[in-house]
Amino acid sequence: MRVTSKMLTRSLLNNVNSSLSKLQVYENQVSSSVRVTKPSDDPIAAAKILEANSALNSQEQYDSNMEMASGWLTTVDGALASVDDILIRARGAASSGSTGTTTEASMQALADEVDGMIAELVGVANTDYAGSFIFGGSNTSATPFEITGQDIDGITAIKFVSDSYSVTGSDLETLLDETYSQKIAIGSGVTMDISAGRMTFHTDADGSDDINSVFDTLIALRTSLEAGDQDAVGGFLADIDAQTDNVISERSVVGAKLNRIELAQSRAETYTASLITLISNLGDADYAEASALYSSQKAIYEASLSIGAKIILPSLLDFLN
Amino acid sequence: MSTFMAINTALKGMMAQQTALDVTSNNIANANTDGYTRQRVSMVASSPISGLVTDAQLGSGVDVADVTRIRDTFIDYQIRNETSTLEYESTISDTLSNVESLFMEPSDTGLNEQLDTFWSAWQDVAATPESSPVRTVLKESAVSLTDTIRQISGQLSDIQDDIQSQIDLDIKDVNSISGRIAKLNTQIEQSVTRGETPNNFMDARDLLVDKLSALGDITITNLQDGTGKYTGAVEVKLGDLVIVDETDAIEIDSDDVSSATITDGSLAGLLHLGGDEDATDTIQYYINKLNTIAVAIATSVNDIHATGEDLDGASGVDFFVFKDEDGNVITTESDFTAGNIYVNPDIEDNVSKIAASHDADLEGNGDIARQIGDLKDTRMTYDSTNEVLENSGTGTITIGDFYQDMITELGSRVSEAKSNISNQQTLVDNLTTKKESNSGVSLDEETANTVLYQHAFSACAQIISVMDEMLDTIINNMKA
Repeated sequence: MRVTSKMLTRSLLNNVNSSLSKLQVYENQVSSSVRVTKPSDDPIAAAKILEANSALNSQEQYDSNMEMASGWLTTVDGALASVDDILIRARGAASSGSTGTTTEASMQALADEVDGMIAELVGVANTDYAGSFIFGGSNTSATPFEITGQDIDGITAIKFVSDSYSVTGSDLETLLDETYSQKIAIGSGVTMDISAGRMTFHTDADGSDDINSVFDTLIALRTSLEAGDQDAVGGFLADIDAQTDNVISERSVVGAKLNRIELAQSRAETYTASLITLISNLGDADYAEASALYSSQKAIYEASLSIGAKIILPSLLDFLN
Repeated sequence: MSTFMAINTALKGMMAQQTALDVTSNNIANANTDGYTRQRVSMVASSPISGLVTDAQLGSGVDVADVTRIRDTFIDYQIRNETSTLEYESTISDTLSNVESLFMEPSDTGLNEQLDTFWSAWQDVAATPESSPVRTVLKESAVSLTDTIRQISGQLSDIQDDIQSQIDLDIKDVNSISGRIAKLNTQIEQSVTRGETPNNFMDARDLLVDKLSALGDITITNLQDGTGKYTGAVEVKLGDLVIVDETDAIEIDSDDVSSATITDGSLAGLLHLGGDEDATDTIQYYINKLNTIAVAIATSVNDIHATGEDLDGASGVDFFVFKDEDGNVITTESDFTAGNIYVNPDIEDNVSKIAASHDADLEGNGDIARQIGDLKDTRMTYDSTNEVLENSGTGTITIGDFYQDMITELGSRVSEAKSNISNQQTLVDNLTTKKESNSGVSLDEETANTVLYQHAFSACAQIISVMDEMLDTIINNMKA
């Protein structure tokens, strides 16, 4: 093959250029530590990165939802413990009031004590979490339990916020179903209802829906204590026990939900970590590999430059006199 | 036998060697000239003289028969073909790389991330629907989503406009080159008629045709006159368009080009990119996909949003709207595009218009917001005829998947084009080397030739000098 000087220069330039552009690729990888910056760098990896990023974003949202649900339910649990405590004290009062030896004055004192408990219970029922009332169901912004009636004996009427509740039976059930529904997503297609208070505040002794039943029981107890009706007072013991059972049941439901969240959170941690690893494996440069390739490419580049210096080959002219 | 014949023979030799040195010198001077083809002097022995010597012909020296270009037209043909293909792929690759960078994937600022942020914002609203700050965050994420979609859509249209102006530039190039080729045809024809070999004109014309081959697929036909003799002129076709007919250049415009069949070169690449074919390497393809995504987001969100109530108890208004150029909301669904999607201005002004709950009295119930947030994972049905992604309840593909598929298609096409270019570039480089090996000027060779011609010249001169001595002997020293 005839070789001309122009051919030598051309192929030198081509080689130096291609060597330099390869060097730039590795230089980019080493300095940015990212391998896939454009879909065309590796279309399959890019698609997987997009997908994994999307999954990671979803998981982060679920994590923040779970964080919120966990705080909410912990607050609910604390509040329910107070309700439990109040009911135990109310049972004590009912028990003392039903004993034959109790004087009328003591009965009055017990009635006052119960009235205090009612006020305390209203306070607990209006507990909020970060400004949202926890026992009002979906009515999170309006005070759920409002004292609407009070005479010299104490609190006589409490209005539940959704209490246009003259409805009864299945209508009432529908209404409560609707009110106590606050589902949040804690996973893809997995929701958790974090509403609380329906069982504690609106379920009567026989387990049927009854608005403000716990308040009604305590108000009735106080009225009986005021009246000094020992038999009637004794009759409330069973009711209070049933209400306490309701609170305990609700607390166990809340506890189970908290457990579920904890489990889901620990699973999410592993999942998130694996997604981050996947994204990094797909898209990040292998630093060791990239810097090794960079060095070897640099050596090639320098070699082609030094060859270039020699390419202005001596021609025949140098040897002719 | 003439006494002076040898002088004449030597003189012809000197003249021939001188011509050869001229050509060599011209070769050396043009060693680095673009498009220059090395030339060679063909020397032939002059017609012999008979009858001077019995039974023998006497040679009468040397003549320069021709100065020819050393060029392989088949390599030219191959280079032009492969250059056309190379330019086609580079045009596709360059433009689609631009499109690729518009989408900015994978990154924290791409549409994928914005969509995720938007769906997440709905989930946040679902968790605390009554919170005004959370609603505001949702609104902002929606505004930024629509801004991004509109921006990408606008940039895609800009690329399409740009393609159109590049086509016009290419056409101007074609017309300018064809004009010059036609002029060269005239000059070459005249030279050929005079019996010359117009090497330089032919080099110039070949160089122009090489340039033309970058723009489109070229066919060159050598023209013959009525007697079947080559006139030196060529006919040039770009695709199936005749652009040079003997000495006439035929100007073309964008209408000619769009109705012609051009299969290679940057023009074909641009025509394909700007066309409306359903292929992953047209701009329209990505505009359509983006439209599908925009309309799917708007329709699926609006449908669910309408079933909810805002904080004032009114039914959910359209969350997304489409506006015409004057900013008026349009209702003709076929006019909905990625370029005119906006967040409903009513919602932008007042976030309480966001219908997060199915019942305004249950402001803490974010079921509607949750349903909208769940759209992220909702599989929809793609109707490829109408290019609509429908939330039909059943389906196989989420909006996110649809977008990611599009990005993968784009990435694959760019990566394919890049590897095609690199292969094609190697092919063109090899052919160019082959051509250079054949037609390029080798300084060593020319130097050797110089020595050769110089010695021949000296030898001829020596003959004359010998003849001079002989004549001197005859004229001055011979005594009768």
